[in-house]
Amino acid sequence: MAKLVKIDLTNKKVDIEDVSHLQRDYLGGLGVNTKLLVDLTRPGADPLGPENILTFGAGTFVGTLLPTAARTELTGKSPLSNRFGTSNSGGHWGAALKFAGYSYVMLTGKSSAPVYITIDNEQIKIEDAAHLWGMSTTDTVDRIRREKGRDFQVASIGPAGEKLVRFASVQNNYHGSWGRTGMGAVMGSKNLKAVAVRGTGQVRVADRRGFAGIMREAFKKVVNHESYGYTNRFGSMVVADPYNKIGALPGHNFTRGYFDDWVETRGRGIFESDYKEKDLACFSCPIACTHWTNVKGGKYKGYENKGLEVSFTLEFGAKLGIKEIAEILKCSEVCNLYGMDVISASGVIAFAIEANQNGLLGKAAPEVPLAWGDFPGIIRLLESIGQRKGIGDLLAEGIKIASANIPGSAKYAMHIKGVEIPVRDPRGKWDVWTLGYLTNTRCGDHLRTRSPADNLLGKVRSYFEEEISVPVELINDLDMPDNLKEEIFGAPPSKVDIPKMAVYAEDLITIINSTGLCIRPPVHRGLGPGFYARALAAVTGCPYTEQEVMKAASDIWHLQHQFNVREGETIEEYAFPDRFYEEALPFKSGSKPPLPREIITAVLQSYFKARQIYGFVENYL
Amino acid sequence: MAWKISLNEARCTGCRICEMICSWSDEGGFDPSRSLITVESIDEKDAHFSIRFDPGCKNCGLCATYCASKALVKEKEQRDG
Ligand code: SF4
Ligand code: SF4
Ligand code: SF4
Repeated sequence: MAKLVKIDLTNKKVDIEDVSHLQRDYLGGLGVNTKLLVDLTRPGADPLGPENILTFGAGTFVGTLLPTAARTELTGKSPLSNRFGTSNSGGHWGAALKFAGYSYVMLTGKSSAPVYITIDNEQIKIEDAAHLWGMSTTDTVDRIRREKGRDFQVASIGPAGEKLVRFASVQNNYHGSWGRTGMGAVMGSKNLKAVAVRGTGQVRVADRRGFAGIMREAFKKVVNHESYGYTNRFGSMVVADPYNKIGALPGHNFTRGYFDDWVETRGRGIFESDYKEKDLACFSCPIACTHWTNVKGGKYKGYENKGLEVSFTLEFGAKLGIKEIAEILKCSEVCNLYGMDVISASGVIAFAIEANQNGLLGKAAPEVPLAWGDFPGIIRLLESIGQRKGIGDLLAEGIKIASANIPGSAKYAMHIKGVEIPVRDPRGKWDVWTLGYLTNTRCGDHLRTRSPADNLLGKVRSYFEEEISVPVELINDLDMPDNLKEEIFGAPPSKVDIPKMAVYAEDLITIINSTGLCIRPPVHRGLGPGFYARALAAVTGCPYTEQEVMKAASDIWHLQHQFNVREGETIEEYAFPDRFYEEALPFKSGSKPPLPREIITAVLQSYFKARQIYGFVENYL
Repeated sequence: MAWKISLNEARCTGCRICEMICSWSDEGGFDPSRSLITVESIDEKDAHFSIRFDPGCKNCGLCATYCASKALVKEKEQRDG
């Protein structure tokens, strides 16, 4: 049985509901969260008002032993975009919830004073959080564990969430994060400091024999996948060097895609040799793509932190120009302590620096650095944003609102539909991933439209199709519906149809985020809808076919899209900032040309056609 | 078959796969809190771990078979019984 804990913070009421039927139709995790948000929030609801609902959904496989079955989705209406908001985190929180006997926690209303929630197996309490309010996220974790037990897993907000910074995160113990789209601000608006969970019960699969085979198959496929070795060794840092090589870094607020000294200062090799101590993993994960850093020499010798994730490097290292890995980690540490999304925080600072360099801030903002890479200045500004002090108060609104309040700054405002654009410049590399910046339902983001046959090093920019760079056997081996394989790659495989692949990629990631596995390459490329159908049947006891799983994923995407349209989304919003259409991107001695607006629009039309949403397009084009 | 299992705690990633597989029951339940191996954080940051076998451990070696980080390694066969 899949149980939803419903917590009404206004009336301090707790109810438990069986949502197995919803899980059957919407796969779990992200899918169930989506259905609850769409059905239970009124159109136009204030994302920071009591009507917004916030749901933690542990994926359907979490609590069983499938590789990477650790992930929990956190969903609500986003205060950053006023659209569908959601983010995903691993660690141990979701597993604890499952072992306590629950799959979902839905928070409604607003408490009149600060509270936190403890779920200790069957005991659920709403407790006074006056003594926790104002604390950093790590102090909050420590304090709750001291009072309640070391084995509590803690989802908490820091000062940024309390102060309604629109891109505040919810932190998962010390280092994990539900980062994007401002779910921490939603939690803060409800006066909810933390949700702490301890579970010591059992999670049962419906079909033990069937599951045993599926478990062995999944471990074999993931651990033997060609991407396993480098994903374990470098984690996400594996792409740090190629992004520079192809000139796709978001350097200095998307004005340079390449740095001469990138590999020596911020590359994956130096990270491994001079910083990395050991591998760390989320619950049930044999990949262990995350790492513990213990700086081996120099000024920061002995400094320890979790990381390095490539998003920290691309954001603080490239977008803001910081060269020292320990300083990049310290920026991410400040974000963790305050509870802020790394990408949006870095994005809004890059915006402010460029606006300042162009004389738009005047004397009003002495705390905004003028130079890229000004580490002390960037740390100070991160803290001002987390505390909403000085210009930090305006920057805490996110780039879209901040730029509306600074005349002449629109050209430096690198966001899509209100969400700061992450990690890679589409002029450096155009592909499924960058089309996804426009099409994914949580707005300017890079994690929800990723092709399982990525081709980072393709040379010719082509808007509708890209060359295949992975061996054809890998494409033949992909677990993917045959008809789609043929439509997307051709028969025999010869190219990737970008708009059609974007649709499939979004649906595949929806399945992963609903079942609770992880989107890192060994899972993303190694397992597909056929596997998920068999695994869902073994875990839940409900029969599924590959087609039913694909249909459910598409239904979930459409619900999110309809939610966005209901909240005012128009086709005009499917656009990059002008910089990408008007300016070339410097690369070594030459440059990469801007994106042609009319061609991008045509690619989008093909995408909408593949998505089968005609009404939306006809109404607006 | 019984195995000797060697430990290398510094390699442990904290994934708890060993606890999960050890606790998998004939009825299909996972229950890591009842496993015969226990992995615990030794710092508040959940970065380093201690590993402990319960006296009831049957030396079946399953935990080591599934441990991807080689924190647990099946050393050599022991004589059964
Ligand atoms: S691959 Fe990395 S992020 Fe994903 S579950 Fe494993 S350790 Fe966590
Ligand atoms: S001993 Fe191995 S399987 Fe157990 S938690 Fe550590 S790394 Fe994971
Ligand atoms: S050897 Fe077998 S019984 Fe002992 S801890 Fe490992 S899995 Fe459990």
